[in-house]
Amino acid sequence: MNAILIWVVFPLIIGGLLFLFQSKRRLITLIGLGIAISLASLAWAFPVGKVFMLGSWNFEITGQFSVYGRQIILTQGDWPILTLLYLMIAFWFLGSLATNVPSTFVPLGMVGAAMIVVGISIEPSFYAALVFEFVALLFVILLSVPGRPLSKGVLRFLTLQTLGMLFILFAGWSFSQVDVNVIDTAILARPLVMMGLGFSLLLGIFPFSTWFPMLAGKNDPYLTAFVFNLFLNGGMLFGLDFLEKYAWVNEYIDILGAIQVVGAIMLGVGGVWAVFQRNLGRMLGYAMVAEIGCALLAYSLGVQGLSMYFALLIIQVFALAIWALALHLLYTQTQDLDYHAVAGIARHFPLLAAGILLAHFSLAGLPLLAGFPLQWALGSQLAQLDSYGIALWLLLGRIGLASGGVRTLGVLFARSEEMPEKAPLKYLPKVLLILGGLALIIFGFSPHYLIHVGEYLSLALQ
Amino acid sequence: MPEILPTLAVGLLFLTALSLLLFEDWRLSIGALALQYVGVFVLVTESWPVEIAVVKLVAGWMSVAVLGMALIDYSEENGHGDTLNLSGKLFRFMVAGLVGLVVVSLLPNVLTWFLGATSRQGLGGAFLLGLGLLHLSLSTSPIRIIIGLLTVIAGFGILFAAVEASILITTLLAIVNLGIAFVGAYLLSISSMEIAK
Repeated sequence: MNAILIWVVFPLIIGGLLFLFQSKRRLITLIGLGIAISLASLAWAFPVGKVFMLGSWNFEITGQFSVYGRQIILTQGDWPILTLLYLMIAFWFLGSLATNVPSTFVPLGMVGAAMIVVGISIEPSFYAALVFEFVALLFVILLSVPGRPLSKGVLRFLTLQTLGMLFILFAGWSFSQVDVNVIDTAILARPLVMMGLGFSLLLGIFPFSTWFPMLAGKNDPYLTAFVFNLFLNGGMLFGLDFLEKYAWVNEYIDILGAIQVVGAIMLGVGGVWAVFQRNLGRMLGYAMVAEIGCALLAYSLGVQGLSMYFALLIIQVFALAIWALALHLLYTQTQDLDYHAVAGIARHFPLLAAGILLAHFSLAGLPLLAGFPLQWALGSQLAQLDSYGIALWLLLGRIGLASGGVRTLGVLFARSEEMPEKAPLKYLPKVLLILGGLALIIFGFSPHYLIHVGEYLSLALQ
Repeated sequence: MPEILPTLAVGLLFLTALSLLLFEDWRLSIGALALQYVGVFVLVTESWPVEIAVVKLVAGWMSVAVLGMALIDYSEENGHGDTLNLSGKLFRFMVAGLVGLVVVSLLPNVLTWFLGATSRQGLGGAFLLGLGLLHLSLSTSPIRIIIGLLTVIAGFGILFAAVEASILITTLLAIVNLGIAFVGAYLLSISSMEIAK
């Protein structure tokens, strides 16, 4: 049995089949959810490369697949990533049952996840740039809902991802031409600049982060947050894999130091702009800018930071999903996420307001919530390494994001004129919001579970 | 292949990219884009055998056909007029001229980055990259952005073909080209589609 057939070809086929039955939205969501959970469980129970006994029958899941002489390779250590990726999409599929997102969500999400698996396992790794371009094209279709005006953010996303693909492709090719034994630093500068530009475009590193708030301000919050979560973290894993493959570059340039500075800038930009936002969707966009910064900071700390990166990622999945679900439900009531349209809405929908605020403050690292222990640990490690300036940026970024949250709190609880009658929330959204909110509080009190899981996940990249 | 052909192809690429920038009439744009892929094909044959280089031409023309079909429907609903006035066209012409000068002056650098590329490939590829980027920076409508992206990819394709002859990359870039055209067609049609339930 081949791992690529299980975790790539099978979900691709299922995604294609589900696409044909779009009229049965609930059914395809349940099927997609079941398959995503099964694939995650399979990755956890049957790691690639191990021999298993089923009665008298021995079988092994092999991890290599060849396409035109190039390899797609899943190794024994990749099971945590596969489990995480498919659990992530299962989580989003589950949440979509409480929304009215288009029926293309599950098929495109499933195909996108399978493509991301290809992206992080293809050799030579620069081919992944093309794979991520395909994922971007899929997500452009997902974000462009028929009958609704096309947002400029979608076009910006497509443009920057396409340019990013070209830069990474060229950088990867240039690296493959460099003779490791006779390196001229002047020649090395060229692919390094290309690589930096390529990944900046792919991950929306400042100043290419403009599409975050543009997307989040005008598109469906649930779809946007899903794209943020899956695409950007897939891109991040690709970037980490790329850096591992070309680890020798570290001998010539302090890449981790550069990543740390970029992370601090992203945190600062996200935090500062969050203070001035007057739209809940755009606020989510800037929170994501800061999250990318946080992830880069964690990665820059080496092995210990890697486990923190994955722990932060788990918090991000929970917080983003709850925030986006609440915003989506709010949008269906108000048709607008500007502050003036949602003023006083907490009096009518306290659960939605609680969901938005809990998720926002968790990402901002407010004490007693899920993000706090990890942000604290991140800041402490930076201080231990004498990176006080970077730690200060982390603090400022978090204060900025929290200030944005306080403004949102004020708006949501503001006294407003009598509002027109709103449809009450259904049972499922209420349950999901309560469970998600509880998870954010529980993780805040017992962060060691998260760190433990983060350590497991980080094994895949070591 | 006659020696003069690649030189003519460079001229053709500059003219097609310029007309894409200056004229917004969809029929002119589709025609210019189709011609652009002929120029790309000629320059790529300097590095690749004709039977592989023809992939660029076929994929390009298929993309043009997809966009053209979508534009026929779109223009019936939204008109197909040229929205740029004379001063706008003049401005774009001057900026395109500047980009052309920059490309010519940077040609030696381009050739050191893409070792193995001929000066004609360097010029043709860099013209398309430069004018495509200019197109992207000056446009906001979906179709213009899609045309800008296709132009940039075509320019990169010429330069990359000079250094890498992998069949897989050629195939994947052709699929990306087609994918962008399909997405462009989809983006043009969504405004007239039924509202999603």
